[in-house]
Amino acid sequence: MTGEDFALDRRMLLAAALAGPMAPVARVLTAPPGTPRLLVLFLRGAYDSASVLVPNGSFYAEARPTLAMARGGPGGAVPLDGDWGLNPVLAPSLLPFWERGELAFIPFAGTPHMSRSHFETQDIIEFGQPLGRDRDTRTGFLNRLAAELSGNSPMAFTNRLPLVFRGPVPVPNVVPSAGATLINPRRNSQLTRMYAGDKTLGTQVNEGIAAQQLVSAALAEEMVMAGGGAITGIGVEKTTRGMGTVMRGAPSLCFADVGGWDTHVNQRGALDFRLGVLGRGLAGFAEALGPAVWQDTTVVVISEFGRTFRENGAAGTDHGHGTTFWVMGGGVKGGRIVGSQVKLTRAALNQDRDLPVLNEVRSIFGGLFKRKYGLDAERLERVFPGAQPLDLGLL
Amino acid sequence: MTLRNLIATFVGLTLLAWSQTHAAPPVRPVAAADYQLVDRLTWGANASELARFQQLGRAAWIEAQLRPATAAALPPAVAAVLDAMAGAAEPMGKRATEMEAVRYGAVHTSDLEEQRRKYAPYQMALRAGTIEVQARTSLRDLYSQDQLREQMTWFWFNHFNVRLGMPPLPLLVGDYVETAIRPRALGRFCDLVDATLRHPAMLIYLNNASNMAGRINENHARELLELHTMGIGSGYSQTDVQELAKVLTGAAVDLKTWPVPDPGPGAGGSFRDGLFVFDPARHVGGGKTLLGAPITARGYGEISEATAILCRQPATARRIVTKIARFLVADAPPPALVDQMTATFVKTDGDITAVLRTMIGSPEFEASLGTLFKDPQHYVTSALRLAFDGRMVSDTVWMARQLAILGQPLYGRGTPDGYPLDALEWSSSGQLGDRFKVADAIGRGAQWLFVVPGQPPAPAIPPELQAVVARLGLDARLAPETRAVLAEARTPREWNMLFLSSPEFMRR
Repeated sequence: MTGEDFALDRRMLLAAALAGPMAPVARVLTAPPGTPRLLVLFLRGAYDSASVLVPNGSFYAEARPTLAMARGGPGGAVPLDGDWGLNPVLAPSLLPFWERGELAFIPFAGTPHMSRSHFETQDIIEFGQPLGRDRDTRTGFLNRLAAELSGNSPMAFTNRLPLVFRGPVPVPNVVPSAGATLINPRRNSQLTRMYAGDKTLGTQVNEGIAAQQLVSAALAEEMVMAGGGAITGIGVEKTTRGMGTVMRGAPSLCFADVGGWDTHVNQRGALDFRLGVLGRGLAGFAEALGPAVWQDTTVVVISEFGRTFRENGAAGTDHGHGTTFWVMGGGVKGGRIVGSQVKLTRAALNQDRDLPVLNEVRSIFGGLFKRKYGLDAERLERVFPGAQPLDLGLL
Repeated sequence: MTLRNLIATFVGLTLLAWSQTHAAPPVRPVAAADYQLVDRLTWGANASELARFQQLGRAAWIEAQLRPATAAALPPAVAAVLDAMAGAAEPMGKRATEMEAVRYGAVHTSDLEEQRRKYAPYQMALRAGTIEVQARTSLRDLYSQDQLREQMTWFWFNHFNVRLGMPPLPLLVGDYVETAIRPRALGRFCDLVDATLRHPAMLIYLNNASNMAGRINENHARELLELHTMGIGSGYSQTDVQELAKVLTGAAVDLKTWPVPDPGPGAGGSFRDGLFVFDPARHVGGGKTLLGAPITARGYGEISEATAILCRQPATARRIVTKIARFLVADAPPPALVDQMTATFVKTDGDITAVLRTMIGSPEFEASLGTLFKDPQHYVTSALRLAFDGRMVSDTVWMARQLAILGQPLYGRGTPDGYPLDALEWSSSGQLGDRFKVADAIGRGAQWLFVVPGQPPAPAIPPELQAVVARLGLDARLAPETRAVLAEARTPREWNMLFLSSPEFMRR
C-alpha cells in the first residue's frame, strides 16, 4: 500500500470512530475474509528456550543438574521428535496445536549480535536493520512491513508504541482489556481541533481516538455475544483473548509483548508458571479468533536471546545467545522442528556457554513474509535491507 | 482498617488544618522565559514556586536549586508527616531483619493455613513499605522547595533502577532513596555508583547477593558496565564482565543479624556496613584485569578500585552527561552542549552540580525551554502542583495509581535499564488517550487525593485552574486552537480537562 492509500484508510477509520455509535464502527472496520493476519509476540527478558523446547541427550542432563527435565514419563518432557521434547506445563494447551500440525519450533534462532544485553538486543531485533553499520532508529521492521502491504491495519497491544512499529505509518496502541472505554464525541472533536496544529502529537491523538473506539466496540460486541459475560481469564490470558476478539475485526498486523523471563535465580517454578499462562493465553487467542480467522493467522513468538546452556550457581540461567522461535497458526505446516540445527554437544556451544544462532531473525521473518504476503525481492529488501529470506516451508 | 487508611488518616489529620488555611501566595504575571525555566527545573511551575522565584530573583533562585540549603525545604506540616513515617522512626535493618524472620518462619511451616497466617504480617509490611516510599517521594515532589534535587533523585533512581515490587525490596527501597540516592543526587557521580552498588536493594535486585566463588552470577557486573557506567558498545568485552563479576563476589546482604555489628573491617578481610556484608570466603581470590588495568587481589578493596576505573572512563562521562541532558534539555541534545558538559564532568571528577550549572547557563538550554514532552511522572506531578497548589494532598495512593495507569509507576520499572526518557516512548496514541482520562479526573477535583478516613468523603471540587492560568499570564501564550477550544468550555471541570489535555500542558 502506498502512503496515500494508507492515509485514506486512516481517515475512514477516524471518520467512522468520530461518527458516534459504536456498533457500526465494528462492522465498517471488519477486514474482508481471507485477510492475512499476523501477531508477533515478544517474550522480553530472554526466556529459557531449553525449558520450552527441551533437548534430548546426556549433555543437556550434565549441563543442568537441577533444572534438567527427564524425557517422557510423568513430569518429563513430552517427546516431539528424536532430538527434542516439550515442557509438560505446555502440553495441555499447546500439544493439540502440535498434533494438528499448527505449531512449529525454530531452534538456534536469533540475531548474530552478541552483547548479551537485553535492551540492546531487543532494540536490534525490533529495528531489524543490518548489523555493523550506523543504526537507523527511525523505523522498526513491522512498520516497514505495514508500509509495503495493502488492506492491513496495524495495531500494537502494548502500553507504549514498541520500536518494532516505530516509523512513518501511524500505528495505534491499545491494551484490549476491560479498561478500554469510550471517549465521548464532543470531547473527541475538542481534542482533535486542539491538536490540529500540533505536528508531532496531532496524528497520535486522532489515532488514539479511533483505536479506542474500535477496541471498545469489539470488546462490547464480544460481551453481548457471550451473553453479558466479561471476557474470561485473568491477566495475560484475558488480554490475549481480547487480542483475538479485536483481530477478528480490522486490525490484522499486530504486536504484543510479555515480560518477566529473566530467570537468573531458582527459575523452575516461576518459569513453569509463566509458561503455563502463556500457553493457555495462546490457546485462548486462537479460540477467540474462531476457526475461520485462525486459518488466516500466523503467530510468531520470539525473544531477544537464549540463556546459558548450563545452569548457574543459583539454579537459574544467565544471558545466552541462540533461542527458539515458535510459529503457530491454522495455516501453518507445523508439527515440525525446522531450520538449521546442530547436535547439542559441548563442542557445539557458542563460546562454550550458550546455543549458536544458525537461523537469523531477519531471514526467518523475511521468509515468512515472502510466503504470507507474496512480497517480491524488492519489497522484502525494503523491509529487511540486505537479508536473505529463509524459506522454512511453514506457510 | 487497611494500611493505606492508616497512613492516610495520619497524613490527613496532621495536615487538615494546614490544608484549609494555606493559600497560594500572590504572584505577579511572569515573563514566558522565567515561567519555562521554573517549569523545567521543577516538577512543574505553580504560583508558590513562582512567588519564590520573584522574591529571590532569577540568579539566586537557580543557585538555591543547585545548592539547596540542608533544612527547611518542606512546609513544617509535610516535614512532620515524613518524620512520623515508620521508615524514619525505625532503621531499615531492623524492619528488614524482623520481617525476614517472619518470612522464614512462614515458609518453614508445613500446614498451609498456619503458613498463610504467619505470612500475613510479611505481606502487610511489603505493602506498607511500598505505600510509604511512594508517599514520601510524592509529598516531596509536590511540596519541597528543593525541586531540582527531587528531580535528580528521580533521575538517579531511574539510572540505578531497582524494582520496588520484588520482595523484600519494599522494605529496602525507602532507605535506598533516602540514604543512597537523595543525599548524593547533586554530589559526585562516583559516590552514587559506590553507594547504590553496596545497597542491599541493588545487591538483591541484581542477584549479586548470590554471586560467589564457584557460583558466579554475572548479572550485577554486566549492568554495572552496561547501564550504570560506560554503556553498551563502549569498548568492554564479555571477559571484562566476567572479571568484574569476580571482583564483586562476596559482596552480599545479611538479613539475619540484628542489631548489626559496628560498620567497618572485621576478621579475615571481612567488611560490614549495616546489612551489607563482604565475605572473603565467598570472594574469588587472585588478581583481576578490568579494561586492561590490573586489579591487585585484596578482597573488599577491589570493589572501589573497580568502580574508580569505571567512573574515570571517557565513555562514562559522555554517557552520563548525555543522559542528564536528555532528561533536562532535549531528546537529542545538541552535541556542542554535550561536549561542554562532558568537559565539566571530567574536570570536576563527576561533580553533578557543576555539570548542571554548565547546562543551565548554556544557550542550548535556554532555547529548549517549553519543548520537552512530559513523561507521565512529570505530567501527573505538574498537573497536581498547578491544580492543587496550596491545598494539601492527604492520600498519595491515588497519585501512584495514575502513574501506574500511564505506564510509569513510581519505582516500579521492572527492568534494570530504568524508564526510557524519549518523548517517542510516552506519546503513542494509547498513552495520550490514557492521559486525557487522567486530565479529566484531575479537572473534576480528584477527590481521592483528599480522603480523610473517619470523615465523610469530601465532594469533588474542581480546581480553579482558569483563574490560576490567568493570574500567571499563561493564557495569552496559548495557541489559537487551544484558546478557541477552551472558550467552548461549559463548566470549570471541562475547562480544566481541556487545559490539562492541551498541547501546551504536555510539554515543559
